[in-house]
Amino acid sequence: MFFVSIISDYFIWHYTRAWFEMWGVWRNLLWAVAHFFSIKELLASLFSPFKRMTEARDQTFSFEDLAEYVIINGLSRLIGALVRSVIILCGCIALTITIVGGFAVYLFWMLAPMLVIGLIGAGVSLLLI
Amino acid sequence: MQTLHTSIESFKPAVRLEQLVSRRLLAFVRTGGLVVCVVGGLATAGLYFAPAVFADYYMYRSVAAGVALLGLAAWVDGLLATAYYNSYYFKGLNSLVGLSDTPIAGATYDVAKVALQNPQDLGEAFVSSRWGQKVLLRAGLSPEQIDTYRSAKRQPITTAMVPLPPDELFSLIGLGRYLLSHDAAFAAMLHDSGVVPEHFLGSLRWVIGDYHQTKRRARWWSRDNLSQHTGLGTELSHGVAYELQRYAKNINTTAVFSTLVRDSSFAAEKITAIEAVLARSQASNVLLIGEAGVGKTDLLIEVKRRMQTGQALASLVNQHLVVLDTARLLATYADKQSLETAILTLLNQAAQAGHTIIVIEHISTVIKEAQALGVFLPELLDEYLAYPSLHFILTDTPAAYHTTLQPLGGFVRRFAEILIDTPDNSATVRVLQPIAKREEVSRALVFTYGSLVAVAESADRYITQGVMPDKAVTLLLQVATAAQTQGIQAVTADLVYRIVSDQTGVPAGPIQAGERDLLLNLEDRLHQYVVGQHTAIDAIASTLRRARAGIQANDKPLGAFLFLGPTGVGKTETAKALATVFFGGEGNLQRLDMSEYSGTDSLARLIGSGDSAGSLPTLLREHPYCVLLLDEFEKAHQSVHDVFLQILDEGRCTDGRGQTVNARNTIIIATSNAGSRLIAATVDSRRNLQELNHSIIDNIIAEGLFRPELINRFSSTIIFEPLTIEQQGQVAGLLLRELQTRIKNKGYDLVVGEELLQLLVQKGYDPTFGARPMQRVMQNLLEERVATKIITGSVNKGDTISLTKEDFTAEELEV
Repeated sequence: MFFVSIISDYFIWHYTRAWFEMWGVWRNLLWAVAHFFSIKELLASLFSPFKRMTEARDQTFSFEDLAEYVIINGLSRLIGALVRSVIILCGCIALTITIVGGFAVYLFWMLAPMLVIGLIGAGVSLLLI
Repeated sequence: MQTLHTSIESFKPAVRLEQLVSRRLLAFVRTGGLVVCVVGGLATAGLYFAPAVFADYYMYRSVAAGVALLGLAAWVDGLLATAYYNSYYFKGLNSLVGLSDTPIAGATYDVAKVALQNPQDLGEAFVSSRWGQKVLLRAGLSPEQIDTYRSAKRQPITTAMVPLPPDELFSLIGLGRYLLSHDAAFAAMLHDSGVVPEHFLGSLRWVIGDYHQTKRRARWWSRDNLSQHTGLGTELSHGVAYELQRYAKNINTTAVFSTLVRDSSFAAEKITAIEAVLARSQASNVLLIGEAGVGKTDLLIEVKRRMQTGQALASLVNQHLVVLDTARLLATYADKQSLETAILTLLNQAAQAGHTIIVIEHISTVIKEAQALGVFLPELLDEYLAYPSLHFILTDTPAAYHTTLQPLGGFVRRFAEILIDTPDNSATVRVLQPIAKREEVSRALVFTYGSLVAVAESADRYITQGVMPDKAVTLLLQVATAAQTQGIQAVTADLVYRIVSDQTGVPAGPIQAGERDLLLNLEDRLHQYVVGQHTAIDAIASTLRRARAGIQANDKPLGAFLFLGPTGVGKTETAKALATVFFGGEGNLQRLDMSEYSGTDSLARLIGSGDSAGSLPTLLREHPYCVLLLDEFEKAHQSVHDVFLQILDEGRCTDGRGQTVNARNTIIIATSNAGSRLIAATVDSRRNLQELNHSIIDNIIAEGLFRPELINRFSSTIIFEPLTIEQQGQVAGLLLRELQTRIKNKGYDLVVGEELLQLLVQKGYDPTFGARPMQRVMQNLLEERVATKIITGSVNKGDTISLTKEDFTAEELEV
């Protein structure tokens, strides 16, 4: 009787509450990945100079100074955008893996009870061969 | 209304599963299953793909595959069972640890687990559970006392009798509270064991609160655990201040405040205030003012943690909080120009990098050290204080704030000042809990909750140096060391009080047998040293008994008396007697001659100013447990009286350097001859002196010697009566005994004839000058005659010196 009550409660939980709880964990993981790669901050500052390294202009106008200013700051922004893009790309890959992994876990979860029975059945049959 | 009985029904399967397969066994099944699966899988792969190598075992390939599949089944099964179990185990945890405000009703898994042990007797279920036993042990109960409760005949409380609150979780804390208020036998067990309800509830919160935090840490998939790391791209989205990084240091802390920071409304309020200032668009710089050891650094650590984990205000998330290593910065540069250049470079880079909060600790010291090199730091910082991309948090002590920062005026006004007070005793107890646990592990001790309360209270009351919670932590560590040295395993409040009493010389904690005798017979003990003055001695004894019984307020000196009366009536002798009886020796009498503090510069000499320490703070710091005798108090300057207004009212004062001085462990006695003439006239007219107490005090006030508010602040104003001739005789007896003791120490015995003694009493009696003339007579006649005999060699060591009337001339004895 004991086992019956545990098993019946388990199955009810497995196909009802567990799905919502898994969604909660999945959501946390997605947030953690986005947070770890700081995707939002990197997108917001994508074209900012790399580590904010910039060249200031002199008080007096000269073409040399202007060229230096444009080239160095342009380069700094280009490098910044490149480095940030790489991190954003890594973050996106990690997010994709988390999303796909989440679906895979849901699929696994749906089939898990049958999988366990199947594995035990197959294992025992192989042992008995 | 939902009851505990209905609420725990849903937990039954999970609890039964745990009873059947423990969490540890489940972990073993998971790990073991995985290992078997991997080994079996590898063996199968080897046998299938390299049959030539394992030719002898080829026939076992199906067995290996079967074992691998069964191992995999065990692993998956273990995972599913763990997930099922965890779903119940962690239910409502966010709400319990304050991570969620969403109301959740019902019992927790732990309550269900305890209640299902014995649904018909919750008291029995609680005290026999692991948590219940821990809670009761922390509360200070012994296993025998718990057994007495279990075996006693009582009305059991069943799960059906316990109504659950409609909008909050019913945790083990709730269960403990319910038992305390509804189970008479349970409350009686605590009462009979001397455990007050507050200590039981404190133990409950300590044990169960810790358990909830352990659960919280175990739940790795929660957002608060997943957000512990700084984002990888944070630094890339901001700039880098290379010079600042060069002189940055890690925030070091005792980490004792962390518990307080996370669950204390006090700390939460300060953190909110700091964040609110930093998030402003203008004037977003903070000046944290608090004593050393009060937890300023710990608050900053928490602010930093909240910024890193996204819990801070939106505009502060991912801000970079850097503590400037000023000692290294100042040591690197030897001249003004290079130091100024370095500081400006550092600030420029930080401003350009943005998202930076620079912390400068002990700012007044840094300003002074920079000034020694000719650099005026406030001027350099001034421009950067207005930058929106750069914020500053400066820290300092209140004393330094008053002496160094306030005179800077405009500079200080650019900061929002946040004052960090010392936490109260209950908050201090929470600070002590994790340290006590750490000491328990390293020293094999157990601290009761009561012992932590005793540590907090004793540190606050009896340890005069340092601030809370720092001095409480120090005391706790001393207690732990003493317990380990003495081989004591359970640290109780009694042990704490004993250690504090040994350390300070002041009786602390519950009154023990010896001390009880002393307090009950305080009058007799004082009369061994003081002749007559029954009313005065009675008043002093009553006040001290009240102070020791804890009835008197803790924020005042142990006692404060104003002794009024003519000279030579025993005012100073009473003070000496009090120091001997209450503090164990005349050496604990500290005297200030207040006639020296009658000039206009007296306040500065008394409490100090600038760099000079005053005589009163020095005396109180060196002798925090003493009788403080203020002789001729009426002669002190008005400003000095004002200082004592504060001391008598709050038990402390602030010295000239802005530092607080504690006077709560002193007995303050102010003596005065004010009103002597009226007292003498009252005695002459044979009226009862005590009945005229009020008119004497009114007269003193009318003469302007003391203001009414000052007189009101004394515990008692005691009038000393002039001595009668009989009392003078007793004084003479006391003086003679003292003299005999002194002569005995030199190797002689002294015997004085009764007739001679009576003549001396008559000669020395003077109602106006009290016992002083008697002392002079004893000195001039007896001491002089004994000295002559010793010097002339008429007596040898071991001889008895006998003095009678015949040894003196008639002129000498003439009255």
